[in-house]
Parts: sequence; structure tokens; C-alpha cells
Amino acid sequence: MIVIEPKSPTPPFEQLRRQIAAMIDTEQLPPGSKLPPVRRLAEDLGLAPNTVARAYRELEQAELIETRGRHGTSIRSRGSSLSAAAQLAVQDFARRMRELEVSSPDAVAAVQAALASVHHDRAVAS
Amino acid sequence: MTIAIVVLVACVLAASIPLLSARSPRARATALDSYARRVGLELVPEIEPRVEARLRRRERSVVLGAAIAGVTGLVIAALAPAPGGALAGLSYEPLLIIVLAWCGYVIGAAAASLSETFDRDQDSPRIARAIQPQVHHYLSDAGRWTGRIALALALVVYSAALIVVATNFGGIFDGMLGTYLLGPATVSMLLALVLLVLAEVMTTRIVRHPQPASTSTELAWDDALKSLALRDVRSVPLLLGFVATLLPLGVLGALATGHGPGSLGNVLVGLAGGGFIALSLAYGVLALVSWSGKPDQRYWRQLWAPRSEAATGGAAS
Repeated sequence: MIVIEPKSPTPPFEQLRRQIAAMIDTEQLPPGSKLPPVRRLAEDLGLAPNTVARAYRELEQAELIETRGRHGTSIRSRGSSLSAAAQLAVQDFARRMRELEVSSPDAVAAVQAALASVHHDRAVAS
Repeated sequence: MTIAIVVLVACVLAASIPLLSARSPRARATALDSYARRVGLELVPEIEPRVEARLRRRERSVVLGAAIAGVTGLVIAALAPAPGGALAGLSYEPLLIIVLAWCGYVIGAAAASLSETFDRDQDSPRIARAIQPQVHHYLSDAGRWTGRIALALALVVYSAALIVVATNFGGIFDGMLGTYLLGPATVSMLLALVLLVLAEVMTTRIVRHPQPASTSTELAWDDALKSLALRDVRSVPLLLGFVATLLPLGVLGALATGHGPGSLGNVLVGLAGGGFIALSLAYGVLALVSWSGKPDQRYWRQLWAPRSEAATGGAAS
């Protein structure tokens, strides 16, 4: 069940996006499941259609869902080994790098350095 | 005409039974409790007055629908030319009024369902399903298909009657009589086809109608009320299919009556009578099967039970 908290500091589109991604990740929404049309979900949740459309768009960019014209929006089968949550984290990271005006090579280098650091910490810990 | 007025009053009274039988607060509480048990939901204090208000508006709407459609049937019957000669006394008026009153009842139920949602505070949480509910979540296969099958059967019987009358099969019919008798059968067949299309459209609209809710209880109650409206809507093609099958059978029986034992006419009368009995039995069995499948709780089994099981499984593991 999707729950939108109007008083939450997290914007509604983000609440919606995270909850759908979590449902995909836990297979509460298995591949092929159809999501409600934008307008219907917007009416059910008392949101503007644009808000729902934005959440769907970002899920689509994260390759978690796909929209096929009149067939509606459905959950994509997993082509990547990345979980839905990991794909969303990558997308969040990419968006933040763009906001900070970090170039792509610098962003990739920063990720590699961060991953190397995490691996090193793990090796020391074990 | 007197019989038609009596039938109209009886139809409106029958539609008013839930409204009239629960006028006191205590009677209403009992009726509501009984309905809650039937749909398998709890009546928590936060939801009870709102469910009661929705059911009450539905009851008023169905009475209004039955009355308007029944009176329309009465007017049509009054304007239609009365049969004379050998057919004097043969009247379709009561049947017309019953069918139209039932259609009005269902239109009232559908209109109430399409105009109602639970109100929600601006600041309260908003919940919704992540899947789009479909017709099969609310209606069983029998509920979805029997109306269509009944109509297909009616079309077959009507076509057979049309061929028999048009070709004067076996030379046993009075052509004029056949043409007159087939009129109401043709009207009922066309009406049944139009109403099947309307029922399909209404079914889709009711299923897609928004369900604003703040709690799971509200959403479950909305599902239960939606399911009730859908079952009402699907009963229209079933009833019309029955009538549209019955009328051509009646026409064949009436046309062939009066011939001696062993004659073709006599065989046709037997076939028409047997067809009527078989059809009535089939509808009786269908009603029993539908009833035993607890159609009131199908929405729960389809939309809520898997979720409850998943939650229980999750808690256990």
C-alpha cells in the first residue's frame, strides 16, 4: 500500500518514488505488474497528476518501470543485477553531481575512490 | 392497465424494502451490522456513520431509479397499441415494467457508486494501492460471463424463432400473429444488446472510479461498496438475457398451440415448454452456485487476503 504523508518534509513525489521502488525491490510488485494510470493514482492520493507523472518518470529513468502507450505502466523485468534501491541511489548520486556542477569523469573518479575506501575499511575490519 | 399499476407499485415497494425496513436507528444499526458481516468487514466507530450514509444514499437512489424507470414503462405501455381480436388480453405490460424498474434500480445503484467517495481531511495520510484493481478482483468468472452467455443464448433462440416465423415452417403458423408476437421479442433482444454494452461501460467506469482513503479500513469498505454496485450492474444483462430468451420461446409455443398430438406444432410446443423449464433450472442453479461462492467477499479474497498473508508471513519470518 502506498502511503503519502502530507506533513512529511519529503516531497510527495519522492515519497511515492521511494515506496514504489521499495515494493519493486521486495517483489511486492513483481515484474509485469501494472501500476495504476497517473490520473487514477493522483486522484486516489489527492496529488496533482504532474507529481505522480514525475515519480513515474524517475522510476522509468531508473529502468524500474516502463510505459507502453495504451498498455499502461508496468514493472520492468530485472535486466540489471542492481537492486531497485541501488539503482535509485545511483540516480540520486548522478542528480546531486549535476546540481553541484561536477563533471562526469570527476564524479566517476569520486565514486571509484569512495568504493576503494569502503573496500579498504572492510578488509581492515575483517 | 390496472395490473400494470399494481406491478409498478409492487416493484417500487420491493426496491424500498431496505429503506423502509430500517427506519429506526436500532433497525439501521442491525441492518448495517448484518451487511458488515456479509462483506466480512469490521464496523469501527470512525467509519460507521460514513458507511451508513453511503448505504442510505444508495438505497434512496435505487428507489428513485426504479420508480422513474417503472413509470416510464407504464407510459410506454399506455402509448403502445393494444392487441385486438384473438390476442385481446395478451399483455406484455407487467413484464416491461418489471424489466425497466430493475434497470432503473441498477442505474440508481451505479449512479450512487459513481458519485460517492469517502471524504478525507487535508492533513490526514493518503493511501492507495500500487496496482490497478481489475474487474476480476470484484467479480467471479460467473459474474463476468453469465450475462454475455445469456445474451448469446437469447440471440440463438431469437434467430430460430425469426426463421420459423419468416419461413412459416411446416405451414402451421398464422403469419400476422407471428409478426405481432415477434415485436416484443425483437424489442427485448435489442434492449438486451444495448444494455449489455451499457453494463460493460458502467462496469469499467465503476472499477476505475477513484478511491480516496486515509486508512486501509476506508479503502476496504470502498471496495465492498464498489463490489456491490458491480454485481447489481452485471445482473442487468442476465435478466434481459433471460427475458429475451423467454419471449421467442413463448412466441413459438403460442404460435404452435392448437395443433393435434404428434403434429409439428405439438412438438414445437413441447420444445418451447421444455426450453423454458431448462432455462429456469439453469438460472436457479447459477443463482445457487453464485450465492455459495460468497460473492460479497470476493473483493477481500482477491485484493486483501494475499496482502494479509504476506504481512503474516513477513511477521513470522
